[in-house]
Amino acid sequence: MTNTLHRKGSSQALKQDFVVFALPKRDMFSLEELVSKLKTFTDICLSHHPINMGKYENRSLRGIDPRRMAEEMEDSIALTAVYGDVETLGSVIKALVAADLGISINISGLMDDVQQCCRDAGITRHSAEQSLGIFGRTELLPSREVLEINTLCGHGLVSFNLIQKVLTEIKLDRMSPEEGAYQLARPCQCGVFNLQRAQQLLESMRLKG
Amino acid sequence: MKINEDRCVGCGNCLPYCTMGAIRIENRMAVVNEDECVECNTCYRCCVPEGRRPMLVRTVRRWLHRFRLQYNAPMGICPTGALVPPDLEWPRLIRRAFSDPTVSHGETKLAGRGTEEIKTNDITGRIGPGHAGVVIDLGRPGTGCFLSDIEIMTRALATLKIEFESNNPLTGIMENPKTGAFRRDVLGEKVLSAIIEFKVPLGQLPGVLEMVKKTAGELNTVISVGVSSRCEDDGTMPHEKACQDAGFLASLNGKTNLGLGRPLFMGDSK
Repeated sequence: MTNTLHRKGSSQALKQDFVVFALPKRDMFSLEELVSKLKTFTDICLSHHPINMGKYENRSLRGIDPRRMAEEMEDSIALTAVYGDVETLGSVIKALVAADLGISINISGLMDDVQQCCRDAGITRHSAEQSLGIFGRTELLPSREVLEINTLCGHGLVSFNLIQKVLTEIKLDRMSPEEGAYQLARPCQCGVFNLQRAQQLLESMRLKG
Repeated sequence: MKINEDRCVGCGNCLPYCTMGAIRIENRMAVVNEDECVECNTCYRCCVPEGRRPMLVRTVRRWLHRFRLQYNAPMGICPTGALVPPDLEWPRLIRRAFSDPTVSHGETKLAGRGTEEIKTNDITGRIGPGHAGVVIDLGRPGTGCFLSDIEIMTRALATLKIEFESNNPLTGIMENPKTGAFRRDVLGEKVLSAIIEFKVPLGQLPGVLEMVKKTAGELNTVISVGVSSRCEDDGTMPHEKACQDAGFLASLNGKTNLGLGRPLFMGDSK
């Protein structure tokens, strides 16, 4: 599960892109305990107004309709949540530390920013993973912006062609960048697609012509 | 993916959703390139059936065409519900197991694309002090890869006496994990991406990364490489320096395990 490890972008862009994960180990708790802990995780995430979320359903992670987040998450358990600034992330981490759920929590994002959030919350990070980049037939890859959008979905389900199609629709004025980002989020099945970043990228690609 | 030929009206709405670009329109009908399709089901999930009658849609489209007009259905719709996920048999079902994150893997006994890596390291202690975890995501981003390409990498790594992660589904389909050889019947299968996982002593990391980089040049796809480690007491990431010394620059972003899992791995003081 290297789902969010290889998100691309400048440091400025990545400052608006943080993903929080809960990784529950089923054998550590009774089912009742686990559900209660994950419900607390969900409530903490929701109270900090995430950009997107992924919920647990039918023994796997499912993306939600971010425009209907409140309804989608009612009586559901979240495993992922996306935030667009480090201040909110810091607040989420503090709340999770205080809740002491005993569940493994991971953050995907700028390492220095996450480490500072850990310090502010009075903890030291346990383990860390970084990307060393892309190797092999890189000539097969599209432009930087398309790649940045594609890697916003951890499983790579937002195809290069779909990104190009949405961009064409936007350039023809048949779709707004906001709607475009929403359309691009649909294939993502773990709810880690950052719609705000996608919208910004689509806007900048439209201006480029 | 299968296209129901009786229902397809050749609108092309499903084309951009295909992660591998494997769908084309031929004689006013969507056609799937079976070699390239990785059975991720993205087209099926994203193109919601509109419930139109194929005959009616075809007639309307034909009439519009006569007047040099066309009707573009909104994105994310299959007017007639022509996309049909097929029942897959071995070895083709490997494609879906690795490419569709929504399916469970009871039939293959495979547990997704990879393991939890460092995400539960606070509880499992899988990557301990002095070691680095390595993940090689083949076919990513967006190109997909055949198992035969993955085998080129696993065979190369096996010469370094790498011990592949036993819980990783790729290891599960190896004929011989000591040589990195896969079962012969799976080599022609293509997946959206697959992850090779293993851990090595930090001192061995430079040699391994050199081998990965060299072998990547022999593949007909791209790979994304990640490295992880258990942090020092002050939060330092030991793998970072090892990578830097070997000439590999680690990304500014990455994944951080906060260490909030309980009970902590035995002997872990944090």
